[in-house]
Amino acid sequence: MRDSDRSVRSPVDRRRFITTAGVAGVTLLAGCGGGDSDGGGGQETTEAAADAEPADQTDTEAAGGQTDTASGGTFTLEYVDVDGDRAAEHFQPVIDELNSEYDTQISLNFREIPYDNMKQQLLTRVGAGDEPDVAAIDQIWLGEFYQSGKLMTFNDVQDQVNFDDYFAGFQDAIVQDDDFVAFPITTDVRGMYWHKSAFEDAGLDPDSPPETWSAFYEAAAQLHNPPETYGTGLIVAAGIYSVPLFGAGGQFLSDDGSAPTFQEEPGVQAATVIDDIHNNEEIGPPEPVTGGSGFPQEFLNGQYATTPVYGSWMDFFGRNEGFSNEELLNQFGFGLTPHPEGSEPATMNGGFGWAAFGTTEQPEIVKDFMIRISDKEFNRKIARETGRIPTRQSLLDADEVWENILWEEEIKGMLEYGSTRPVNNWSVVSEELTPALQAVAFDRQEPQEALQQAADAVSSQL
Amino acid sequence: MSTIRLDHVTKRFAEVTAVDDVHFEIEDGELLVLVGPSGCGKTTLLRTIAGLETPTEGDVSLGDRRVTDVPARKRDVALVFQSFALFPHMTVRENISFNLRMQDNLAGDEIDERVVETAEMLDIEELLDRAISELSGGQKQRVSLGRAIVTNPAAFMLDEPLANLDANLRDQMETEIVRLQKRLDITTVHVTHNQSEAMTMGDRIAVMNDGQIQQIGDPEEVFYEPANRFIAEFIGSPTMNLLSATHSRGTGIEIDGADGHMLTIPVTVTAPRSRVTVGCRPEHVVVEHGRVSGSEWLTDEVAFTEFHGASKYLFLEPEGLDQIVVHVDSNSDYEQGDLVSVRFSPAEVHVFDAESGQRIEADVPDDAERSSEPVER
Amino acid sequence: MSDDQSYLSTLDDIAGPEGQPMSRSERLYEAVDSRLPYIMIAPVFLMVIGLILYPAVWAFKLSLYETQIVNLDDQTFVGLQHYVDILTDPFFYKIMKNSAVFVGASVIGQVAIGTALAILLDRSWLGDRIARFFRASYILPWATTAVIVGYSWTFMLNPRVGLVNEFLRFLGWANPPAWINSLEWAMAGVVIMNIWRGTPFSLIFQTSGLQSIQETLYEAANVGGASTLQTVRHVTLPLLRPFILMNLILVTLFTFNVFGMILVMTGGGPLNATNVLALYMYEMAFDLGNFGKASALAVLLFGFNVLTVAFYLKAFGGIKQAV
Repeated sequence: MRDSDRSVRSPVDRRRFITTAGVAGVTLLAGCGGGDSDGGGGQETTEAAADAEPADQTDTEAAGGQTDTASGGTFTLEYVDVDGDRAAEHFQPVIDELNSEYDTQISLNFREIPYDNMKQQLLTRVGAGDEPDVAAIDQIWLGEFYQSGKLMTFNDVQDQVNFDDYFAGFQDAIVQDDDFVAFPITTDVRGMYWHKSAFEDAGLDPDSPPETWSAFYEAAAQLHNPPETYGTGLIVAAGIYSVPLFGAGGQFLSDDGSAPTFQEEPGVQAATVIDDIHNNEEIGPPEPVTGGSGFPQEFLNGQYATTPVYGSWMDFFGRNEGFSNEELLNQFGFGLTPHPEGSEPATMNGGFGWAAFGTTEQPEIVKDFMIRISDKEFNRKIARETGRIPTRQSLLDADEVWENILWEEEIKGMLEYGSTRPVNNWSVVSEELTPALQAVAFDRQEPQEALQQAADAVSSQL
Repeated sequence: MSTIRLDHVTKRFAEVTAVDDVHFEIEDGELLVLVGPSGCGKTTLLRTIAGLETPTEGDVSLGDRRVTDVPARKRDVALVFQSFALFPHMTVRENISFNLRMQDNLAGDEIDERVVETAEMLDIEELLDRAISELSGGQKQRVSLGRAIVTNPAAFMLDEPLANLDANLRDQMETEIVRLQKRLDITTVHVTHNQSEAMTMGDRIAVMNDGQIQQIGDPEEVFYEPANRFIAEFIGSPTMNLLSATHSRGTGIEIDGADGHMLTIPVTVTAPRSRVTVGCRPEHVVVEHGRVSGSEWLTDEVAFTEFHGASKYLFLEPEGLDQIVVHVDSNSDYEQGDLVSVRFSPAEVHVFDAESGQRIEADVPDDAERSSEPVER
Repeated sequence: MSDDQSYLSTLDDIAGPEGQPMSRSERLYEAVDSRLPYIMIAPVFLMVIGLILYPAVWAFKLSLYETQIVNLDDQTFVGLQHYVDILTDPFFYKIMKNSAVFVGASVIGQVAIGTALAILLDRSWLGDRIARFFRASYILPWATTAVIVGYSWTFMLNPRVGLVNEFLRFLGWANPPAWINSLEWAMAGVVIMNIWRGTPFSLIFQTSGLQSIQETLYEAANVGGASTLQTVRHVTLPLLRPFILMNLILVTLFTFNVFGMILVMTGGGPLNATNVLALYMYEMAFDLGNFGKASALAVLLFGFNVLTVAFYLKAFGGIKQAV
């Protein structure tokens, strides 16, 4: 991933990176060292040290280049993120730094787009040649955006950002065809949520939720009180299915990613959970939930006593619905999704990455911006202020990171069991698997048959 | 059977009173022509009888039945529209049979039979399968009559049915409608603004103005004894000569023109005021060549003439007086510019109160009376 | 004569120095005047070419290529492959069946209800003021954005707390359908929404049709003994026929192209129960990013629209009926 050409250019960014770190009160080397000591071996330390050399040599050259490309004028950096906890004010300090660094007058145009519309809007804008400068992109979409050939690559600064500090599951998504195209922002986990009061009303202990599927069915049956409250409910889709799948010891694809494996026994077992909830145990809603957009509100408003699989961003919707963090903690439990008897629990990690578009009018400034926001200290700040799980292993033990993350202990516990989806083939898998799972939920097909059909369709597209 | 009785019927639309306290009876089998200028309320009255309008006050009775509140479709009254109102999406046959088909109790053959019968009566049996758009105006009129009479209605309403036809056709249809009406012996109300049509067709004529019935009577009565100045002016063509005059018991009626154009008519009337209007139809103006002396004569030049086939009209414009029209045979030798003398035949003059316009009965003097007059003088 | 010849030949040779400018401007006037209709129509014509014809041709061209939305410059010619793929895919026939149900039910419902309401409001059975109020307020659904309509009806048809089911429960139906969550009822839900949205258009359209019917025809029917229903059946409806035909054509075309409301309401689900051709095309282009195949679907959609119009014209007996 590194060649001499890029090594020559990388110090330019590094020089600015030092400044960033300085403002943050931490030097670049300290940052790198911190990352290395937390998550890397000695070999990488050597590499990073070797990289530091040419940086100083080309410093003056880079300064000349800087005045050529970025002198005078104005530049509005358009940043697009999903509707969530990240906000413009988190990034403004970075813009202020950039302004003190460049002659160009830089301002930030921060835009939020609801998750459901994000991919489409961004794809359309990319197709139309109207892409923003920087975007927060779900890891499962990165492959498609990479195909546009417009993503900025960061191979040259890979070491500066201490790449190996990122969770392994994320590394697959941000490296496409050997190109380093995005910086992880946050990760998330999926687990079970429940209404504590419903547990109490049903005579269950709200602090010890069911751990196995059979215990879960039993509890949900006690909680089931239609039509006011259903015992449980979940969005029937491939992403949600991943947790029971992993819990049953299954995977979506073979290790080399060449063949589907979800139709095998663990996959069928996981799909049977969906079948059971909707058709056999009758502890769910009369009709399966197939569109996800209204689900968190419905859960929070008490339509379902439990949901065995939902993402750790439920608190965001909770706050949107008017709950305070305290109320959320008091009223809702969050923990591991039930698993089959005798198996390990599981969860699935998702997350977002920051990507930039090489078509920006100020590639240099944008790249600098990217490096600054992917700095460990900035990651620390984002995690703390937004209450979202950081993606750097070296940050996981830092207490301040967890200050605003609800259900801290539970999430830390879940991270032990985290796996990721096949992010680069995810749209193919999801496109075929989701309807198959819905057919199971609607009792149109048996799990085995539905999964086999989906697997055949996936096979032909891989 | 089917007399139509209008009992103090008034119809108001918001501020406008279209029909004002109309009260009369149409006899069974009679053809009554409702005539009046545009906007006089005659069509509204007709529609009130047909049931398309509900009277604001008063009652309508058909035969012995009070139908004021009975909807049009249950009144058994047929209506022929000025615009014919034929259904453009139906053939002639379908149009004529429409009213029959809307009654649920008639068999198909019976309907067919009656349609053919009606078509023969109107001489349109060849047209039965034509589309309405293929018909001429006269043919449409017949179809529309056919649709109206096919049900043998109790009464027959004709709303200016001839207004959209050209003159020749109109004369022909006038005759035909009357013939049809007599043959079917059906109580009929015919609305028109055309007074000559009214005179030709009506058993009786009801003249309407401003929502009120001005006079009802047979055509002769209306023509010869107009109840007021409006009727005098409206009925008859060309219009009756109407001149303002002074009445005095001694001299009778004096019409004063400028420069000695003075005319005396030796009739006496019992009038409340001395100002009256004198009317005399052009047919009743007596004319002589040259100057004739006497106070009953007025002498003037013929301003112009109008040729009307068998008749000719002389127009006199005596200074200080309204125009006087004189009817003469068209073969008589009166020409424009001729000096003529005219006088109004006392037996044929109509006298109206100058203010109210109401007719005042004139005492036509016989010789005895005339001789007695100087005594009074 | 030289004058005659010059008159017939070039502009410059005409008449003398004084007559020349006059006759030149006259000729110019003449030239403009005789072509005036074409000149007037040119801007619209150019707009049609630019905004309709060119994109249509471009879409057809694109349907012969494999290309992704993220990189439209990268095009590979595949001939009719997209059409073959689409027409051999059983999924396409599921979509077509859905489209047929959606369009059929929506069009019949919308035109029937719109016409019925128009008749109800046109004849003064309700009183003028009430009729005017209703006519004005019935425009609202049509004036509302598709997305808002979609969201509103998502709430209305919510199985638990939606107004529709509240009402049905009030009427005594203990377990009313789950509407858009249900495989069986979801299509009914989107059809109801679409009828609700489209009815005002038919109402206005038929109202204008009714206004073209002479009042005397109703009076003739009335005097002729026809009851209200008979008048509607024998007079009003036959005379509305061309308007109904035109309305059917337009509404069918509109409905074939509806996707926004469905996208918002069900996203085509559950299990593609409400996925219709226009939505499938949209998803193909913007979700799956396959612009080439989406263009092929667009061309097919256009084909169906043309076929529909042809069908109606035939069913109603020729184009003359419609104009």
